[in-house]
Amino acid sequence: MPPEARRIVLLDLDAFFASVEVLENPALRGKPLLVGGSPEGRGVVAAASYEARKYGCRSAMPMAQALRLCPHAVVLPARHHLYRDYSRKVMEIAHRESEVIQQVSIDEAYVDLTPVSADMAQAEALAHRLQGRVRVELGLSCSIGLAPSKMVAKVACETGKPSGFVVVRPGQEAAFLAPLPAGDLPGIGPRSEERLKAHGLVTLGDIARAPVGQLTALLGPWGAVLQRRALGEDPSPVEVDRETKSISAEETFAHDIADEAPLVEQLERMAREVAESLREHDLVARTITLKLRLADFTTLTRSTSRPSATNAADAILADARHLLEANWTPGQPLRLIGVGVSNLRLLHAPGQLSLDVLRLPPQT
Amino acid sequence: MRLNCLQENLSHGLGVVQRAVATRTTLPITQHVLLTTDEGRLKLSATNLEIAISTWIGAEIQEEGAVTVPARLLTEFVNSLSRQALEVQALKHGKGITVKGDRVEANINGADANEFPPIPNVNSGIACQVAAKALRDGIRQVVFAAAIEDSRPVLTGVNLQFDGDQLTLAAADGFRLAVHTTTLARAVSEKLSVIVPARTMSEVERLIEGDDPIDVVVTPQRSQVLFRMKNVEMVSQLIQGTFPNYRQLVPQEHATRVVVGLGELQRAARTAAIFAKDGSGIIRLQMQPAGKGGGKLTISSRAEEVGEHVSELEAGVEGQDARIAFNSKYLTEVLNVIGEKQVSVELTTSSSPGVLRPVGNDRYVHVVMPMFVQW
Repeated sequence: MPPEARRIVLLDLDAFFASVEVLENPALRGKPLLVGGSPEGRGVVAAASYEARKYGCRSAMPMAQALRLCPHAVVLPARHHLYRDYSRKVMEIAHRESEVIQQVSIDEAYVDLTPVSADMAQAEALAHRLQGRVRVELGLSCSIGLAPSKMVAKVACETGKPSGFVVVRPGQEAAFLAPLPAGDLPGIGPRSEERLKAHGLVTLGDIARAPVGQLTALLGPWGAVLQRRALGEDPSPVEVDRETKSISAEETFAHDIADEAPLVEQLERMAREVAESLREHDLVARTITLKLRLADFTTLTRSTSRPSATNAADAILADARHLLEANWTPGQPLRLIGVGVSNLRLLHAPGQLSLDVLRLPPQT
Repeated sequence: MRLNCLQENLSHGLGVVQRAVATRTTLPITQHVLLTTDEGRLKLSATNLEIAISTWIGAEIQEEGAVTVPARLLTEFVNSLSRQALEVQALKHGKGITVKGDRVEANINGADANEFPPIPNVNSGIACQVAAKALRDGIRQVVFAAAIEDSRPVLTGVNLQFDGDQLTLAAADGFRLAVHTTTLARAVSEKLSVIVPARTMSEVERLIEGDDPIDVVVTPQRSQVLFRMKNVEMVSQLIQGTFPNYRQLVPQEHATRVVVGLGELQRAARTAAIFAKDGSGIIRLQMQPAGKGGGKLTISSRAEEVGEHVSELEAGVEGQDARIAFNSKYLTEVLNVIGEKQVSVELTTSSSPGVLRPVGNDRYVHVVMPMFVQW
């Protein structure tokens, strides 16, 4: 007897940032929305509503490009604290179904229903209730993939977006994956996909049926792993409170930089990125690290610890600048600069409900 | 500059301004202390550009002047000496001092006093006066609820609302809200609401000595606030922005109200905290109104695979049976400052905010969000 099949949900919020903006301002409903940086500041799209996606706008696309595709789109700056509050509420709702939850990003979480359901039918009912609660209690639309593994749940969820509800029963994984293009499998990037295609391996079914030797010849040992995944095998567990140990950002320059101003500009951007990521994960950090790579590839990392933990970009930047001044002489060319934070802890205990302070109107 | 002063006075003065000395900075001069002769006394000042503290100590001035030296070095040196009279003299070129005592002498290199950042001068603005104890109690009861460095800067401060002779202090961090109201010794001329960095407020609390009333002055541009205490002045930048209208966060109704001895609840919460250390710090509270026996409050906590604990307290319970879980840190922090002999806890549901008040004192209210737990 194989071990009992698991029942894992991937819950993915649909166009999350944009949907929250619509909740906050219902007049935006039905309009193409782009959330992210300004087109002048070389900003990128953090989220696009489905109306904007019809025009080809996608997240991570430069805002200026997105606006060329959809000139009448409404552009809004990202309000991460607001999204975090909503995200936390979604996770609170998910916690009512199961305590085994792995939040993988601000808008995505695996919920293991195995401990709270007897079979797939019951898990399906719980997953339906979860999707309904998110819609009714918060007004947010989410897509659900329910499957015996995380990977299949993820793919199932993607195929149903938006507002999807896709169930893959145990034993049906390979059949479900077979017709899908190879690139739909997490782990197959555009380059691997091209290479596979060139050898006639277009769908996941093709990969599942291919001789293992052909795959390993093309992709190395990873090829064998991919084949098992294309068959729907993914034993990885839903990891509760998966601990993030550090968060960092770095930039390798096209040309070495020896002037302070552009370096500080890079540090500023990276400090903001790292701070944002801390806040998305509800973390604060005590140790700030600066990484420098000199023209001769010597790499230095220098750290400093703060008296109190932080998730503020200003604080991270101040420490990073301090480390830069102590470890680098203006004029010395650098190939790479990076900022990282570690010594992390959760900003608050899991399960802690929040007070809606910032949703309140300001004092008059 | 040349003057005589007592080691203990200089040591005390340096201790007062030390908290405004920058610790991590890209501007080394902010790690200095500025020494200035000022109307027959020695004025010590330090600033990290967010706050500036000045204090005056008794000194016999021989020659007027000003000089700046590294604060930490001077403090460590002065603190290493026994009580004695000291002579402080600026070095010839003005960039440092010589300190002479009883068979001890030190030269400390410094910088030109002109390089020291200007200490803001707050002379005019909206002013009021508050009793030392009133301000100290007010700060103590709210400051811990402010958010630690956050993307939402207004929450890292304490909101001070002045209205006639009333001062309301409030702080909130997204999980709890603390509000304290007090009466001013001298009223303000106009309504005013400002946000002072929590760190400033903690320093003010630390600096208040004795019973002398404290002057509070907000600059006309509402960019800075001055706290004038006996021999000490502290000027702080204000946090720009508007504080949320928190009053609607305080629930107006409740389904259950418990009154319990503060000391007993504090002790039970501390005991529970031992078992709540790992994981999420969950403390569970269950209230039962008087049936056959008296009302009771049961406090419990458990650590997976380690053990669990239950305490039972006699309590006055009005309304329905109720249960709620709080983070042990949030619960102990408010109990530590609430004062009075008894505390009341008001609840609506196990997922809506709990309200704690000192019984017989309507000047303080604390709202705290519960934790979601499986019962």
